[in-house]
Amino acid sequence: MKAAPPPSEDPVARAVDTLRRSSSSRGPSEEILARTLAALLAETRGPVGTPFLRRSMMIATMKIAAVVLVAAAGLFSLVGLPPAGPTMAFAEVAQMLRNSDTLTCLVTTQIPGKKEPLLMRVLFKEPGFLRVESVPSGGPVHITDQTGGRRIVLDPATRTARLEKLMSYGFANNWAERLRKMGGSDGESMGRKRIDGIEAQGFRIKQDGIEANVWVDPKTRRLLLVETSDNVKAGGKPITVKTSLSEIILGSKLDDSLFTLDPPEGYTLIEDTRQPPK
Amino acid sequence: MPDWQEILRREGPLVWRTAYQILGDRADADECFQEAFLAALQVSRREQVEHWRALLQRLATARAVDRLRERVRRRSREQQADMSALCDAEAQPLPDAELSERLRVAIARIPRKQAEVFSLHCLDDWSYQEIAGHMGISINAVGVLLHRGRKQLRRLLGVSSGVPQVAGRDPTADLGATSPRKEPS
Repeated sequence: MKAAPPPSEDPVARAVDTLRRSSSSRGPSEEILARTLAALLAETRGPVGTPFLRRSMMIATMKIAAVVLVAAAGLFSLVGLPPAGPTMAFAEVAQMLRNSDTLTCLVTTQIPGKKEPLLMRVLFKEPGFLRVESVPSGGPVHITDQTGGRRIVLDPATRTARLEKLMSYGFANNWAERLRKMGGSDGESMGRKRIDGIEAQGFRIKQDGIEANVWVDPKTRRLLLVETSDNVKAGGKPITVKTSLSEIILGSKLDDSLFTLDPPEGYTLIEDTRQPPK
Repeated sequence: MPDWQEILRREGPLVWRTAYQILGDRADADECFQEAFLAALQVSRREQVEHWRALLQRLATARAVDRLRERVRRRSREQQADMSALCDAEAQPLPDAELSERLRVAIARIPRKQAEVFSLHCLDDWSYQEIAGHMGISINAVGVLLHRGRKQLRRLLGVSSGVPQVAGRDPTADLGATSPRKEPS
């Protein structure tokens, strides 16, 4: 059999070497990495029967949002609040919260087995509108209308808008009413710790099966941090998801356009006709 | 559920270069890259994936070879011989660019299985055993495919390398063929 030409004269070897050298310094752009991740996550959420981890976390996030609002009033009725400034009667707190019809915060969720936490920006507006955005931006956006029983999921990567029906989440939309009912709840004082240079006062609150550690600036009554854990199901298996809420702002002006269920221009509307699980 | 963000971070650059080596075009490599990951997702739904890198490289190679073959066939049908349009002009100076592109065109002309085996072994440094395991063929079959592939590529590339050809034979005949080669059974 005729021997192959020596490497230096082998056109194939020369061509392979040239091709490899020309490609070695190249790599994928950040854009294609982000687009691919968005496509994978969208595909993971799509088919019936696929574990909807994000849906479970959405439910947990909404429950947590209610806990935050309850805790904001409840903690002022707790025994042990140090006299770090003028105290507020709970009635004043309840009035303040009734006047604050919005909430925004950053939600950091640690999922078992995952190195990086999941970050979401949550915006809540009465009566019962919730907007959840991925952080960093560019990922899917969930907009929920609890009163109307619908949700739209916007996917910038595929420019699609999926409209879905909702099941009842089991808590009243009028959180201010719930707040008044919870005004007499007790909690456990957790002492103090420094958060972002502020000497924060901590309380442990329990509501609707969720236990939360709530940290507040006793001087300004501003909520600094809420830490909680929740049991959700992923793929049929129970897991414990740890969540923290930070950058909490009550009563800011949130435009109605942030909560519209109309798909943005250029998006393809997909109506999900599946019935919510019972 | 796979941690796609972590898999993309860890394997993405290598998988993308696998596609780019074969295609020589960033846009094509991007599409091939995304297709490979979505295909890997489908695989992960059917079976447990233990080695993501190998799976993704194999999927990227197969898709890149298919895409390259289609591109060469399309350009042959359109009778466009503009080689500079098939690669990133700024990547490297001639004649390396031309040599790389001729190799790509030649890869597109040999049977698909030979092209896949050649790409995995010579461009991605896969061993015979790794190729055999992922393609579901024997190690001996890998050797045969590689030998045949190299032989055909050498013949196709012999036009530009200065290697003497058989007298009387049109040296450009193989690189300009318009009909696809029949796959070996």
